[in-house]
Amino acid sequence: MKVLAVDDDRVTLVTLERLLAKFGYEPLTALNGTDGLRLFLEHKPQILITDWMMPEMEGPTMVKTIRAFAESEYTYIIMLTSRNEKEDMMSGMLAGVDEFLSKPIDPDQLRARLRVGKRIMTLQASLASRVSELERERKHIKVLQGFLPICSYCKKIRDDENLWSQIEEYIAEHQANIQFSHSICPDCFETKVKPMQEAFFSKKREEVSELKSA
Amino acid sequence: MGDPAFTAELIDIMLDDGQVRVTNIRAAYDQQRMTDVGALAHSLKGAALNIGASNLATLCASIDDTVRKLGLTIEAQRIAELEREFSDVARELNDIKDALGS
Repeated sequence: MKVLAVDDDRVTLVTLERLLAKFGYEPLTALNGTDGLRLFLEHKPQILITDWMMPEMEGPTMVKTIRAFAESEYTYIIMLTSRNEKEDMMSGMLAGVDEFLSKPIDPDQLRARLRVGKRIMTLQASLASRVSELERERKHIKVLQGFLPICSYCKKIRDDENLWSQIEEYIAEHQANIQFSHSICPDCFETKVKPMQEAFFSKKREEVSELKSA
Repeated sequence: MGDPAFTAELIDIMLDDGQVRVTNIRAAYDQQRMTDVGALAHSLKGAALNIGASNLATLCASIDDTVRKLGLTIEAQRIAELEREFSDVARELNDIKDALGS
């Protein structure tokens, strides 16, 4: 796992580099915020350890920039500082800092915070992978939902349970806000209703003539 | 971290960078750039804490607080005190380095 350490104090930076390598991380180092930001964009480390006060670009400004530009990929940020006042902690957290570590560096505390960061980044990666898996599945379902089997003759619809139903039943089930009012279109009137009417009246006429002849 | 070569490397860095910072603090003070004096003192404090030079760190913190938090000017005597303290730390660090090499 890549860890970027940014501090203008070379003693801190060399110590961090050594400790990170010892703890099994892949260290990257920068002596100021501008170089830190450049390395961040180049290598996309999962964890960032940064000093508060630095020349060119201060830690909180760098953190804000990273949070603004890399919304989709989370980075666990530890602020390394000799400041420990409530106001400073608050402004660091508002800038996007996850954790604070005070100077001088305590190797055990550093290791513990890195473990927390690693755990969170692993969870985040697994969550991101699950989300993208769900998105893929949703797309697939959408494609399948786009196909609605309909009988070419009677126009019945096959539902998700493989049952055939009338189109009005299907729509009434799947579109709760739609209600049907039955009517007859002119084409169906000509082809279906009119012949039935003619047959009916013809039968009636026959009945009347039979009655008359009787 | 129990590695004499690494400790010697840290001492060398502290001596080089620390001397540059002390010189820059003096220059900033002479030009009355108090914000720079505070920032440089703050930076030197971090390095001092890392090598366990607590007196130097306290002195740096006091200068940083005076000029940046309180917005006051410090007396020349405080800068001279800082220079003396750094010289003492440098001497001690050189002694440690010599002991590591022997």
